[in-house]
Amino acid sequence: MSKSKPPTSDVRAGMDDALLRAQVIDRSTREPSPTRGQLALRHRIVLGIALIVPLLSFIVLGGIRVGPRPDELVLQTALGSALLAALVAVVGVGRGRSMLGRPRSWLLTQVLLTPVSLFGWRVLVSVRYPQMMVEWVERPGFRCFTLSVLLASMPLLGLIWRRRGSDPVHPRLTAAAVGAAVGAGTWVLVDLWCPVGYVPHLLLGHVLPLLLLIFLSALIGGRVIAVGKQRPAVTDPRVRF
Amino acid sequence: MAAIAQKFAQGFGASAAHQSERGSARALSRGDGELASAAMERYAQGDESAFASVYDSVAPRVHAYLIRQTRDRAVADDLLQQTLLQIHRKRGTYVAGLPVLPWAFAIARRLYIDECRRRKTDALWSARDVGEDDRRASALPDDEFATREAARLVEAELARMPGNQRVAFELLKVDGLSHQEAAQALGTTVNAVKLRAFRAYSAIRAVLGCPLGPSAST
Repeated sequence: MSKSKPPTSDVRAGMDDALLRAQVIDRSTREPSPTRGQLALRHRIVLGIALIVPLLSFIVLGGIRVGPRPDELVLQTALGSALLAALVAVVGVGRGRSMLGRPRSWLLTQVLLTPVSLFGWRVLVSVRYPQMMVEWVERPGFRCFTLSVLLASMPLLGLIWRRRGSDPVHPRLTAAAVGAAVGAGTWVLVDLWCPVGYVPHLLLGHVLPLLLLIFLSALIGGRVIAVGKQRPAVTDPRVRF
Repeated sequence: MAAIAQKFAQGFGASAAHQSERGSARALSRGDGELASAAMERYAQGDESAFASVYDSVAPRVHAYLIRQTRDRAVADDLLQQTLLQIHRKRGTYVAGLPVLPWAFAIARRLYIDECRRRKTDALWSARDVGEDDRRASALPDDEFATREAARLVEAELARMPGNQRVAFELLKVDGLSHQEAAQALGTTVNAVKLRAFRAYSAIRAVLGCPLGPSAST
């Protein structure tokens, strides 16, 4: 048990090592936890629902709306943003080869670059087609804003639930990265739905909800994803939980 | 922290022996890591008896780390318990082959930080800590004075240095984690861990009056 001997000179007494071991093992048997197989099934169900609901909502709300856009423009914006969204999802949703998730620098880069790259791609492609960046007076961007938030809410909740209590290192950044990944996925759908390429519209209806998702996810999701004590202590009555 | 300080106060002179010991500690660490990963994999798959093996391969080092941080064995016991139970609750998320020790250390560190934040608001607790520390200090024996004096210097230096340097130093030099594992546990890069540990090592050497040798960069 004691491969690495703890210092004892200036330490207050605690319980015996064997007793502590027995107590921890006993508590683990009294508190069932899902195995990998059970958890994978739950995750599949929750994520399946979280993805199907926004996709169905998207179809019900009109699906792909080409409008006055040339087909090539729709194809280019959709493919480019889908590729970016896939990259963002790999970084934001996956954990990589560590139980502690991606490094802080990766997550920060992902969070910062997601809105910039998606917006940049949309403008870069639209500017090459005449009349595709003109103002639509009746479309300031509120509908796109609402649609983005609506489509993103279920997947965001699903993915945050999937990572709950799992990040002891940088939970807020992880949650922000999840928010960015969900926002990027939503961007692709809203991009297919919205023919407007006017920059203020894009900023209000497309970029702002993405930033809002990142912010809210970091704020609320960070607390859910963070590792924290969940049960009262049983060995030291002085510790308040 | 005093125990670490004493260890380093005694050990700084014997560089070659120190290097050799550290090499074997690293080898032991790797062995422990593989054992922990194998046990965790069995536990994630549903083998309930594997939790005892996970405990045996993880708990001693995490416990030692927590005792050093808290200097209160009862609190360390609680934090260890919470750490292992977090691993237990999240066993289904374990990915085969990934190192368990950095994960366990990171959870323990997070719980310890939360505990410190809670303690900061508890003035009564702080008052009792000060009283008990004073009592312990007055009860120290007179022998080994030189070692204790050096230990005191190291301890003071460890307490003075930035927390990130101290923790990096302890994870590498005391807990025997690799740079990669320590970087994962701290959520930073390997280079940042090396830099923090190097700064900590340099500061301790300076306070003990030892010249900066080649071992400092390892």
